[in-house]
Amino acid sequence: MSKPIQPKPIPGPLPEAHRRLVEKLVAEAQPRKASPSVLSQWLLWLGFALGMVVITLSLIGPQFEIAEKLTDPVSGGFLLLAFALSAFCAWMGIAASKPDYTPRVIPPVLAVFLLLFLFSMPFLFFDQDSLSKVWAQNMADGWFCARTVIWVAVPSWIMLGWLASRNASFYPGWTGAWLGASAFLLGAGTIQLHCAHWETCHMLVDHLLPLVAFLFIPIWIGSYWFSRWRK
Amino acid sequence: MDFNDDQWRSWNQLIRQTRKGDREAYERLLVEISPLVQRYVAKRVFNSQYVEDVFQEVLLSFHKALHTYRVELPFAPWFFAVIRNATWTALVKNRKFAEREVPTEDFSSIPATEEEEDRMDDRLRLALESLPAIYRQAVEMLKFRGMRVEAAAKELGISKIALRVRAHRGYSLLRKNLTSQKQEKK
Repeated sequence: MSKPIQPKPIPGPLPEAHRRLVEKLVAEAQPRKASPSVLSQWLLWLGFALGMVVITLSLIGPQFEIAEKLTDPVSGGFLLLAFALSAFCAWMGIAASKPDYTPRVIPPVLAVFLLLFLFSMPFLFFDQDSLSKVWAQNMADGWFCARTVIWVAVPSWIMLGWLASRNASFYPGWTGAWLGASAFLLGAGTIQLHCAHWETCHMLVDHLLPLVAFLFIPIWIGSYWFSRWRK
Repeated sequence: MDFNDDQWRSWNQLIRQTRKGDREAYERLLVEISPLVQRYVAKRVFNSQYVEDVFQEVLLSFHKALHTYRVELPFAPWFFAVIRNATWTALVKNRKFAEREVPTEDFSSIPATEEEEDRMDDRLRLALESLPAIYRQAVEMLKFRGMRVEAAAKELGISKIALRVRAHRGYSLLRKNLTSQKQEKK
């Protein structure tokens, strides 16, 4: 049984400037609901992400050999890594948006290592194709795969950003980077469920390049958006 | 003041009450944590001219981040992590400002004459009068009357964002008007 709480007497009067600040803050105090835990917010994103994948696939359809690809260790591993990395980045982004977040070296190093492995998989395990062929195909179909990656990534990032913006982040740039990486990886995984081109240049240029090319945007926007709570 | 388990539990209790809108509990919490925050800041900020600014910013950040504390968890780890992050952020911000700051001592050697000040007032008044009414109102309320954004927005019956946008456009126009006045004079 814990001891009953014995509140201490209020200490002596505060200096005038502190007193005024305390009065101002007290005047602003209102009943407010506690922000949900990282796990609750991550589960909310997970539900949203699953919904996005299902909606996208219902619009564009999965590839014909999807069952074989999912059971194949290499292509299944690629998909698993893309989605798992997206989920990990989403978790880290939400955690980084909490004010008590303490940056550590291991998570970003692990994420970069896994990302490099994901980017090297097309070179190591899949058929080679030529860049000129990919370019010609993109000109013909109007960059369909890259556009779909962005189509999935943008709502996912907005959803994550909305969650993170309510959390009071002291590391807005990092938060933006984690959430941006998560959103683009979700897009890359989703398009790979649809696209039957398991070829090096196509996977790199159309599925994974948007992550590298546009990651600066969520970092840049995040630096403003997630620091607004302090203004 | 020593900070034992009872003290932390008491603060946890005060936060629970604050969440329900109890202002007395919140005042008590802020008054009790202030010396701890100040000691924490004073130990980490070596430049004494920043201590007070950093302390105020840390307390403000604590206030704005309070909703993220989960009362079922211990208060101390959350509290120290927040004030550590807030101290660091405030220090970086203050350093950035200090780098851009123009030392005021440089101006003291060239005091403005009364005539110059009057002329400056006239120019400012003219530039302000030339602004569209909605922008002038926003600038006057925030910069001349020193009103808070919330209060000014309430008085005008618009959102805080709308007021900030008006004020921002007002500042831009004001700057443009003052610059053009200066160029005309040349």
